[in-house]
Amino acid sequence: MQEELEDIRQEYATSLEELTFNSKPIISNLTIIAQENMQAAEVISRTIEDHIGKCAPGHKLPVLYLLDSICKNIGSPYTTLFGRNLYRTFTDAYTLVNDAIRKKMHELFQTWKQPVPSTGQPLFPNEPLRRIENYLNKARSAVLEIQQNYVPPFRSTPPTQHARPAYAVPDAARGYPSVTAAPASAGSGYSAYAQAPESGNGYQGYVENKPAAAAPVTKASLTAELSTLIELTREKIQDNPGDVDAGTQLSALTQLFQIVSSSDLPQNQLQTIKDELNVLAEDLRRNKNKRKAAMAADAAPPPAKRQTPMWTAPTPASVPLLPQQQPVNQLNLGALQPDLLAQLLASVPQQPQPQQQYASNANALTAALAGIPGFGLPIQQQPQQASANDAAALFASLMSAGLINAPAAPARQNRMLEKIMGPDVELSNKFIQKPRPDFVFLLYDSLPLLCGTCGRRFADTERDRKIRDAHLDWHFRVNKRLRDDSRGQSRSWYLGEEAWIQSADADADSSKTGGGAERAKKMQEVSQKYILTPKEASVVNTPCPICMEKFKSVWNEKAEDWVWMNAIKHSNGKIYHGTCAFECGLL
Amino acid sequence: MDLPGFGNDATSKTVNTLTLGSQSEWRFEVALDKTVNVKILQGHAEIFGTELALGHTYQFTATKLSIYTWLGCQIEWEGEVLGEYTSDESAMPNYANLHFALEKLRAQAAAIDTQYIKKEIGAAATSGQPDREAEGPKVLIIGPRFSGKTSLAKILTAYASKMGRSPVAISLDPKESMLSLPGTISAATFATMMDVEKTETWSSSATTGPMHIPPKNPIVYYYGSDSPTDNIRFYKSVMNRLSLAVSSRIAVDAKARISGTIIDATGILDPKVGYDLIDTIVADFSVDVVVTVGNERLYNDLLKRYNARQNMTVVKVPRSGGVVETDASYLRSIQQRLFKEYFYGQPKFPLSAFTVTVDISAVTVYKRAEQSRLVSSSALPIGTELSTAHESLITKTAASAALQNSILALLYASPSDSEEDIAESSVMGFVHILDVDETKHKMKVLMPIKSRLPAQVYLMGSYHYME
Repeated sequence: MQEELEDIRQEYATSLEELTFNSKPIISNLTIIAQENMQAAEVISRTIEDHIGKCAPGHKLPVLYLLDSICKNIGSPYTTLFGRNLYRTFTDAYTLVNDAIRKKMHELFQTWKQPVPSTGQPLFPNEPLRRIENYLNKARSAVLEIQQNYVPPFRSTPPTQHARPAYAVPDAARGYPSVTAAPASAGSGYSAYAQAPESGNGYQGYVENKPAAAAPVTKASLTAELSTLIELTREKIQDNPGDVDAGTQLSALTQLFQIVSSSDLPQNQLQTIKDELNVLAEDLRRNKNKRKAAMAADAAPPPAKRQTPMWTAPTPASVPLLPQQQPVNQLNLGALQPDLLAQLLASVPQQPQPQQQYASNANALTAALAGIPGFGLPIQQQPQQASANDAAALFASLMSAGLINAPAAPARQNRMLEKIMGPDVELSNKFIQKPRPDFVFLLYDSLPLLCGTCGRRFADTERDRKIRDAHLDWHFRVNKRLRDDSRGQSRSWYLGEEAWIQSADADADSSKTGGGAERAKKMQEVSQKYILTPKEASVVNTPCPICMEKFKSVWNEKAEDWVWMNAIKHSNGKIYHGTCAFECGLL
Repeated sequence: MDLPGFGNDATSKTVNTLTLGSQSEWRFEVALDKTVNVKILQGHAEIFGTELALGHTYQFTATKLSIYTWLGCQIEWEGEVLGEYTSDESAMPNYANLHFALEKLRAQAAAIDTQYIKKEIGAAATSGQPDREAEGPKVLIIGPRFSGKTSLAKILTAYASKMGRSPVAISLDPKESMLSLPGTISAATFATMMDVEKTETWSSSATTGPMHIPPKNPIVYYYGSDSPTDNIRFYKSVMNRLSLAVSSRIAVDAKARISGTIIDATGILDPKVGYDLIDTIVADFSVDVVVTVGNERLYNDLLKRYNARQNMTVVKVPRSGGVVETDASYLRSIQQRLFKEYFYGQPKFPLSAFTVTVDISAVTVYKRAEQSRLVSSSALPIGTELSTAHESLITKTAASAALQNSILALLYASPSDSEEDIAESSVMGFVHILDVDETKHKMKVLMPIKSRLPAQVYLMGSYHYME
């Protein structure tokens, strides 16, 4: 029993990882799982609470929606279980999220106060609801106060507090770097950072000085995030010392860190870099999980430990000792992830970059540039290198052609494609014989979204995310139908030649094929088709060639004539029952 | 208290965990009447290129499988295996490279096929360009028996669909059909993932309701026995018909067109019959990539034969170390299981079948005509081929007690069609003759679906099934 619960907890925790945006199918699915595992209600509720506590602020809202969905759809015992810690769960999340999400949380809370029709009582026990209400009221007045007293942006308070209403002071110790609350006028506070040491060890200096530094939030959060990434990359290298790409990535990250911390970058470039780092962070986190899986040889560590929250800023204890400073010129731009970093580095005009590397990577650059919205436009000092200019020009022309507006993920897709189209890939014994696992890693890297039910993979693009949603919806429908429908299934007839040749679209998307609902609907449709009762005596008595039953003539008001219902005339001249023909794939 | 069947069956209750390092595989065999449950706890794992979901329990019966991992994984399994071991020697890296080389050809085709671009990217992308079609690689996989051809075909298909392609997989081996029953040859596009629990048939064909893994829709032709040499003329005839269906499909289905075809040929390599057959396959399916599996002589022979041809590439890949040689009795029992599953499904996903009793005269049964004694037309003196060409490929046979227990293929053909048309018709499904009562003139027939017995033509092969 204990093991079973632990299994459920782990599975549920894994599934929760998927819930990073407001996805109805995922939430429905997780709700159903919660419903089906009532015996594990306590474990599941705790898993959800833990997850809300440690997931990225941007991901908290959908998980709260899940909590809401479970309580509203299932009710007891979940309402009681969640009710216990509701105040903490809700308020801890509230302190960490941005204003937009807070607004949503307000709205969510309002619905909790409404009486549930079945009981006439609010969803949760009164006590936590009252406390949350109080809290929210205080929060609102605190926000007002802050707005009135707001002195942007060079106060000598720690930067994180700008993002945080006064009531959240106890949480400030967590040092969560705010992503969203960057003051817009962040242009001039860089001088403190310009003096940051050039060496990699300077990082520690930064952390120590952090409380005194009066820097704009964005820059601080960026450096903090960079350090987290550096740490993760180092972990990756420790786990797999032969990983050349990670090595390159590390040195690139290190440099990027220095650049960001030591130079004056305009706000929009900081944001660009930040966006790119988010992509990279996701990659790293995924890799980390994969690695953990691979490394867990002796005992599987409980996920609670495995999932160290990535999004909190590193405390000094976790700051890595960076390796000896790598010369900037040794960047290997051709490697896996690093070409993304190369883009970032390229966007920093002050750093001297070796010209030939740009020249040899101009194409790769252009492709990867596609992933960086806005890059290339705000460069203040034009880079000296002609090739970098070329890249920027290329980018500009692509942009004007309307080809570039895609988010970062397609860049990853493009890398896969680029790699495949590379000159070394050819259909020859030579290529086949030399193992190239880097291809497969890149393949999986370009398809990071995984369906937890069947293992199907999707790219992290807008288009694929839509396909993924449809796919999850489809799973949901299938599961529901399989559960609801007690009638047994039977093997269908195979399609006929004509039907098979034309069946391209039926195969194209899992959300369209095999769906019982669609099938039933189609059956209904074809059963309503009719033809006028034939006049020829020979035809009148010919039965349906499939079921050998004769057609019945009925009066049809619409046609004002006698018709055969559920009948179609096939292109081969024969008349079939619509449903028979559909069953046999003649339609 | 020890009751048989209720005791602590130590072997099946033990849960085993094992950890695979990166790029290694776990190979295991499950006996016909045993079941093994496998769950991937962590990491990344795939069966013949199809990735397994984490934490999902997969059930395997009567199979010989390998679970491969690129990055390492942790597997939990329970149940009784015939044998299991871990190996870090795999041909998988070679197979993956082959996939990427093919993928390059697909990407090239995708870049110029206007119909494909229109559909996938939007009409605007091709405006002003002349309509142009391009075909992806048409791959033929050849190798001796037990070289892992079918596994390679599955891997290439799975990887292609993982990357969003929709390749046409074609199985030309009647003894271990794809998505159908023994004795058939078939083709299907794989736009969605395979069902790894149904390894023998690659996936499941459609049923009347929903399924957890989308079913695949095959086009099926009935040959009627295990070996193409039993009646090479009939075999070539149905194969030609299959190739026509595939090329018609490719003509209208741009996605399948640029994805290309992956053909799993039979393991017959007798230089006399086999090479002639390979020539026919190459011609019928416009093959432009020949992959030989683990046989140097075969590779060199085919290299000589085809390399001079334009747009034709012959490559070789090593045989996978995991391939297990099986004997005829194993094949029989697997085939019996496939018959059963066609009608009744698997324990995890049962299907209902239905029995009808009909008048013997209501059923029109044909069987393959006996083949002339000369095995291959290429062995005949020039000109004599004509003498057999007009002979009918099938003959009508009286419905009699001889039908008892046999599996009949129901064809998309009516009794009034010409023998020529009937012989070329595709398969609608299968029925099983449970009982023939000649005195009462009645026949009991098992059907997969609840309906009247279709009044179409039935083709009899050499397969019987005992319930």
